[in-house]
Amino acid sequence: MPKVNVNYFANLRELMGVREEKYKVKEGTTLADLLLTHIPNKHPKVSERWKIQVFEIEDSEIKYERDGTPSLKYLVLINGISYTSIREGKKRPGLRYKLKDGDDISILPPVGGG
Amino acid sequence: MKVKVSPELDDLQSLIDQLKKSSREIGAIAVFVGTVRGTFRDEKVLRLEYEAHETLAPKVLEEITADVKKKYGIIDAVAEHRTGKVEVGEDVMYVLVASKHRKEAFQALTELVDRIKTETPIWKKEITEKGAHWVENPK
Repeated sequence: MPKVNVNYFANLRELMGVREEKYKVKEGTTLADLLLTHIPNKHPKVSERWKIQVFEIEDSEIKYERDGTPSLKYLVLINGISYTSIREGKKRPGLRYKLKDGDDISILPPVGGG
Repeated sequence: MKVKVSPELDDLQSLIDQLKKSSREIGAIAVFVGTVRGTFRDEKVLRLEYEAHETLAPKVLEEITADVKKKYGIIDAVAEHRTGKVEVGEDVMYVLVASKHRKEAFQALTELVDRIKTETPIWKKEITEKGAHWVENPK
């Protein structure tokens, strides 16, 4: 079973109450599964706020793209690479990326430096 | 080229002096100093707190600086940003651009500052007398 590390920053770190945490997931678990199910299940008290903050919302529900994946507000990095750019072989799976043992996931709110 | 994301900024005059020494071609050094403003709308700001992605922020800063350096053909550049608590009136960001002439220095400086503020994974929490909130920079 792959173990992945999840990092939270700024407002998300405050919401989740931790800077980083580990998830042990089944083989074949996707990045979308992690964001839609595993993380909110581990943090039931803030799962609704998690949903509103991380995903695009339409009529109180998570908005989905034409390809069936949820529409994200925040940038998600897998081992420092945006989920939109990461490759599995020749494909760019996006949120359908299958989590690998040791993956480091960073969820980045909109930046505010300067 | 030098970038830094850290609780402390380097001495500004030293940074200018180092740039001057880096090339005899330099004829202009444009400098941006970002400081903590004491007001947010009608609220009194008490302090700011900055948080950075420790590994990614310096990397992004380096990429942006290299990109702008190449685009405008400037000679050298420095970009530094603080993390942690910063009090009102304190410096939070130094961006310096050295070039042959002032025109490309000003252009490069403007773009570099804009891109640092919108692309570098650094987050800012503004603590005012009425509460605290995370600031999102407009793109």
